[in-house]
Amino acid sequence: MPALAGRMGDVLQMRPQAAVRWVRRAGLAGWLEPLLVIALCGAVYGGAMGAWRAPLLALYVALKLPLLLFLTALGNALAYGLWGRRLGLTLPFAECLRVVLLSFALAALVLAGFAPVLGYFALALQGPTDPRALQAHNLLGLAHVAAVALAGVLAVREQARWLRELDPHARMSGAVVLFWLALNLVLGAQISWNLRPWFGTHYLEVAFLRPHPFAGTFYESVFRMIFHF
Amino acid sequence: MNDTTAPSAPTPAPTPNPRDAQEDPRDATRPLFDQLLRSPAALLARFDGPLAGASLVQLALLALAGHIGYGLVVGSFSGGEQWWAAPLKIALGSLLSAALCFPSLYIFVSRSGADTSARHVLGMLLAMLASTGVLLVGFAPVAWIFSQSSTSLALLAPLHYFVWIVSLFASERILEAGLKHWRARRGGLLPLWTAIFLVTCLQMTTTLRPVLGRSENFFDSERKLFLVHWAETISDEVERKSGK
Repeated sequence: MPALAGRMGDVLQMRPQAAVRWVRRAGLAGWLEPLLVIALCGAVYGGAMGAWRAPLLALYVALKLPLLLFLTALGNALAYGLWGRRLGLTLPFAECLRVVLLSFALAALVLAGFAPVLGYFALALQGPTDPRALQAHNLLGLAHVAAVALAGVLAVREQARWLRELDPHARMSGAVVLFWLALNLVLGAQISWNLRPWFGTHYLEVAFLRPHPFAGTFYESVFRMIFHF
Repeated sequence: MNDTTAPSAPTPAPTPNPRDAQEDPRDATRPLFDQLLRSPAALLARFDGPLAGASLVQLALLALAGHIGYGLVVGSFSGGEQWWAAPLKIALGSLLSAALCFPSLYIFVSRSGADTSARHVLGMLLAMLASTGVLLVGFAPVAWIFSQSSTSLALLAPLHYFVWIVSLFASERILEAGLKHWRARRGGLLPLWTAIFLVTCLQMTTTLRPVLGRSENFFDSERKLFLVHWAETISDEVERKSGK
């Protein structure tokens, strides 16, 4: 565990060589370690995210957030390798997936850094039974959007650096990162829709999943919202 | 061969530039308190040596003493149980806020590329808190005079916040010195962290309320955003005064 923390610290301190060693690491540990970081750090942040609505939702979101990241990476695994190759990257499929998993691990680590502050605000602002609950709900929602956006930006920038280090001859590593980001956003948004609730609407029951998790898509709901507006 | 060329003027001694003045070798031997105020870089260098543990403890004690000292002035406004409750809440609130924000500071310092460990980041944070506490004590006599001259919460609370924010921003240079000392490649995220710390501390004053005024309870357990609490306090005071 201390060795894992040290390696993750090196990645956090923007040492691309540390990430390269991790991506090229053979054996099961090369897969399990990023997954472990995603599971632990994602659970910590997920707990802070669900804490405003109820302790039970905190537990559910602590389980669901790492699941969202795993499923997104797994669903896109083939596309990462294929499109990486199509855009001139010479990395094996497994290394492409490990680059993405490592960037998810980095994002989860950054989010875990925000978890104490956001968890504190979740418990300090007006609760879900307060008449002004919506105000706290929206404020916390914005804070989570900002935290996720910041963690995502940092992870994507770092991912581009790792790819340049892993394949210095690839001329379109920036395009690869952008394409992978697009894939993650498209699938991640839909899976997050299927796995809702995350934040907990104050007038709805706490549940692990909504009654019909596969009814509709994220994009249909956005379209409906725009149309309704 | 009559050389009429005037002898060249002696080259003036180079004036020490401000950067050299900052790196005065005597800084390393100064007491911790002096280093905190005069040469943060020399203070931070302690965390690489055998004095690291003792320096961390001294800074934590200094931070506590400073905040408790200023808390006494805050408590003097209401008197009674606030004499001990206000210093306790201010010291506890500062340390709690620092503990909540420590992980994000560690992430931001690491993302700057600085070659630091958790101990270094803890040292930077405690040094910043200690410096804030010391500067607060410096403002204490001024704040005390205002505390004794007014009965208005709506006037005194912003005054105390102003004094604290000035002290905090004046102490932020310790974080910048830390990034420079540990060779950060960029420091763009520090202002964002300072904003997070500031907002957390402001919310903490609402969580631990009453700090300045009085209440029947030691804590008011109602959950509330600090801005809402401020608005309610001002509106209560306006109503009370207009009722008079």
